[in-house]
Amino acid sequence: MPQKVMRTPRTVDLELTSRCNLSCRYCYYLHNQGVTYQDLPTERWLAFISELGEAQVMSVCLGGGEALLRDDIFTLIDAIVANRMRFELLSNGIALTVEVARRIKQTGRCNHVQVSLDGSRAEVHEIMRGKGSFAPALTAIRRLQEAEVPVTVRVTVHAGNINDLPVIAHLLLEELNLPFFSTNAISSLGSKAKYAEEMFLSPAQRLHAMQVLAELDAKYPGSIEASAGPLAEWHMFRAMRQASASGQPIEERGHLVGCGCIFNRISVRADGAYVPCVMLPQLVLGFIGENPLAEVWRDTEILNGLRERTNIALENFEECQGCDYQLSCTGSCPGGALSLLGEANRPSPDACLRNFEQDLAEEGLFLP
Amino acid sequence: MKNLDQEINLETCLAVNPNLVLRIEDDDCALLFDPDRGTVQMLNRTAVAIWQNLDGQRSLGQVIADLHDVYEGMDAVADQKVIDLINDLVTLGAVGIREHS
Repeated sequence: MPQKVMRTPRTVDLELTSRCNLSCRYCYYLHNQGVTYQDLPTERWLAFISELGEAQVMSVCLGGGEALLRDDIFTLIDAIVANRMRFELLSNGIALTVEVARRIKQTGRCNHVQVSLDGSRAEVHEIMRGKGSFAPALTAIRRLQEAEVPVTVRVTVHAGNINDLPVIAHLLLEELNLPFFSTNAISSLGSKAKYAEEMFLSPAQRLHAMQVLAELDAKYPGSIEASAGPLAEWHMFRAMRQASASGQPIEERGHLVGCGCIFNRISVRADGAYVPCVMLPQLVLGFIGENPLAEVWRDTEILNGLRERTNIALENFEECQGCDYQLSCTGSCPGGALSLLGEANRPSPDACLRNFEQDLAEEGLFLP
Repeated sequence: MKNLDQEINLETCLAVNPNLVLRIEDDDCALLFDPDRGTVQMLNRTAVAIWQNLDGQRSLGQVIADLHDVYEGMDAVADQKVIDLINDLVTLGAVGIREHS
């Protein structure tokens, strides 16, 4: 059944700054040819936040770069509150002082602050995120907890932290008593061009990460979330294999249905460009202050073209011919397809189960 | 507005909480968003019509009478459903009793 486009976006991602106080090796934002690294003045954002209020947007997700590097961050948050919205904040934790945590709590409108943490100790966390980044991240989580701000943690899985995942889970769920954390994997955007060889999981590492996370998922039921990355793939691939074995395809698949964001969410880059998603920063739809949100949301050819992808059957693609999983596959994220193939409305090759099985087989491995 | 736990009768004038956002998605569906609580309620067409009549001037009896003008065949059961909905909205903090000075 085709998804319904909301009248205006329910959520808007705002990349408030292109500046960051870290240079993570796997950053999708850094070294991204699709991004213009230029920040907007306070007034431009305030005018846009007012427009979001008029459009009855419900929440904004504040990111960057590192959003807390903006001196005017609480001026912007106050405007979000005044315009009857809620917000989420993505942070590496370094600039998250006790005072910042207190002020976030004071707004009463924060859904959560997400802190990135990739290891249970400095030498693991800092492999990708750089020296001196671990202690501030851990401190930020504790400060948010003490201020009673809902806090979530995102763990990006890479070759250097797979074996640390059980210790990370213990730290987050048992020592820090977080109700859950989320995981993903390195995307093929941004810094991958510079560091690809050393960052991406090999097929064997990817399988290992899946198995480690699946065991943790069983140990901590409902406490590890994943909409992408090894754990999400583990669940997705198992369901696809079961469907194939039973001869009963998974309903409403077999088309490019792997992305739901384009029906209820839009993003704005630090330079004010509307883009469909932070994972599709190359697809500029217009600019805030020049193009009204409602028009961009409703009338932009690129966005409507992406929404049409749910009507595109996978059988139309040569790479999907003869695949046993075709009717249970979603084609995955358009960001991956655009980055790897230069075309968003194609199945993303990095999420292909058949490819993964073939890669494993070449190493004498298989998906259990 | 007075405190929301007061007894409501047909003479009571009701007003919507101005901090809430009513997003009308289409003819059949609207979302009532409370930014302070982070909750979203789905409202159908009739509930939206009721919501839009809670202007702090009209009494609950008048709101129900207006609905009778729009929807033919409304009976006592339907009237009670309107009152139940109002009570639910009051409980949610979405609607309050208008104080007249």
